[in-house]
Amino acid sequence: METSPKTNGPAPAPKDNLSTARRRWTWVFVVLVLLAYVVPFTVLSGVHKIYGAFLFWTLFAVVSIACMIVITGNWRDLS
Amino acid sequence: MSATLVYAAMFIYIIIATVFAFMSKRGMGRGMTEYFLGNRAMGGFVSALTYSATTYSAFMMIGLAGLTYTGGVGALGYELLYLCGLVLAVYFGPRFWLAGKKYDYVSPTELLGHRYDSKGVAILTALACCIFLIPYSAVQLMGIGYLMEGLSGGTITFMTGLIIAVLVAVFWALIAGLRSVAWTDALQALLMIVVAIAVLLVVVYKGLGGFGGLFAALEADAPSLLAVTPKEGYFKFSTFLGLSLPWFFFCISNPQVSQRLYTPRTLKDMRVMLIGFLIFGLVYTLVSVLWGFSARMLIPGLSKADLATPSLLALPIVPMLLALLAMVGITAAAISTIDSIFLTLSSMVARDIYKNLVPNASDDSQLLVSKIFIPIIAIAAFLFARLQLGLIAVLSTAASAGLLVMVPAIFGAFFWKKGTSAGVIASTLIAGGLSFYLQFSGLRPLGWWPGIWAIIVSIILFVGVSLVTQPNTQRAEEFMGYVNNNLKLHNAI
Repeated sequence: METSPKTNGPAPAPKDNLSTARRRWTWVFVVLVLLAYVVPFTVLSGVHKIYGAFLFWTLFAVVSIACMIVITGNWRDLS
Repeated sequence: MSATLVYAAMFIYIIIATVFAFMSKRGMGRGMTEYFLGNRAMGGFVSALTYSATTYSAFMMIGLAGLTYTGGVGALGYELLYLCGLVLAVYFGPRFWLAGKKYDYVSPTELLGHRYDSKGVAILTALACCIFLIPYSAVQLMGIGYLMEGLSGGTITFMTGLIIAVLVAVFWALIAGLRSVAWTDALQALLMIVVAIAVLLVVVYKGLGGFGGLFAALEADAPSLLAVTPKEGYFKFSTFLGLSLPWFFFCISNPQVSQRLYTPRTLKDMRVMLIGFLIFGLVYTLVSVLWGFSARMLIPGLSKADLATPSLLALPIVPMLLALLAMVGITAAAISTIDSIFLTLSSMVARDIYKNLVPNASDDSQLLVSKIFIPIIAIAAFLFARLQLGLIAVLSTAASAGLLVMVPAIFGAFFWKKGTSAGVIASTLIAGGLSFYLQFSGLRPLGWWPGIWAIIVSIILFVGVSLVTQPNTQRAEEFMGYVNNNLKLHNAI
């Protein structure tokens, strides 16, 4: 069975805060993924340059990865 | 390439990786959890590398480079959307991990069977995974056979390549289960990425005068490869959606990777695993796509897209030693995927089928059954590969779409108390069958690909059938209550 969290870490997050965070991050990713599907096929469909869809999708991946690093940065282990 | 060189390279690679596999045995205990999950004590760094090697097969350097060669930048978007689908592991990773520790799950389908309180669910979903993933492994094996035959100029025959790959995959899986697979994977992942980057740098700088030269050549000679349009070209929107959507759910729908969510020692290790994989994946994807673009600029007019990589490696600007290492690297990518699939499927046979049919089966007997099934599954894949049937390709292509039908049940397990075993069985059977039928017949209703229909129909069936059948509310509340309470303690969303 799990024991109490480490004393040097932040206090356990209230469940409501986690639900809010979950909803907020879900929306962030819904928007990111929608942009990844829509922008290259609309705004950038006429841009035949490396700074078009190639750069856009690469930046999309970098931003998504950064968001995942932030989310998982809040995880903590129990002693 | 001479036969001696090719065999020498393969021999050295196999010997070094085998030494790693035996080293991984040190301190190994007994039992199913130890064998299949590394006793749930895997460190983050090795986990990241084995997750990467398991996920990325020979498809990247052969298939994705070929897709880029033919279809252009859409291949990058499709693969990066898959990579960002890993956000699902950010949500589901801690959930699988917590539930796995609490209820001692070994296979991902065991979680479904227990959560929905149904042996039928466990058996059916495990069988579905076998039906889709054995032909998928067969295609990987065929890939190795063709690759070794092609790159060695026929020195190594298709059949010899096939036999080497099967024996090596089974051997490494049997030595110490996940431990040996993980350690050999880690070595292979490093080999894959280092060789891929080295080849790219040589090709781009020697052949195209650097990345500026590659991009300038693309913009001047093949500008259409740098954009996607909704209704034209290889990556028109329906194709793009049909290809990318099934892959977006890969990290929870494919058991050989979702099983890895049970294995990290701590959540910190899981975080290292996920971030390590994301960085590896981003680099590997960009490198594979740039291989494809480079091949298009240096060797335009190839008859088949899959020839892009072998043709690139055969260019005089690529030193023979590097081409040899690339062959080993691509073989490593394929074997590291196959041995993980063999391992996962054998754990499902023991845990979800054998244990449910023989309720008093001891841990030792389950382990024995799974060890017997590793070579049996390998032989099945080998026989499929040897037959070289068109049906295998269909089943393999259907794998990513077919495994999608379990995604609603996985979501329901953690987020919907009203989900029922009947809902899981109906959605898996009917939507899985539909996915296979659409793939086999080539039908595209409304122009949508099988994966899109698979997910739509499975959601409708899972929700619809669940609403008219009785859920096991007590099990759902107990399971979800435990997971949700502990997520709060771990500050995971």
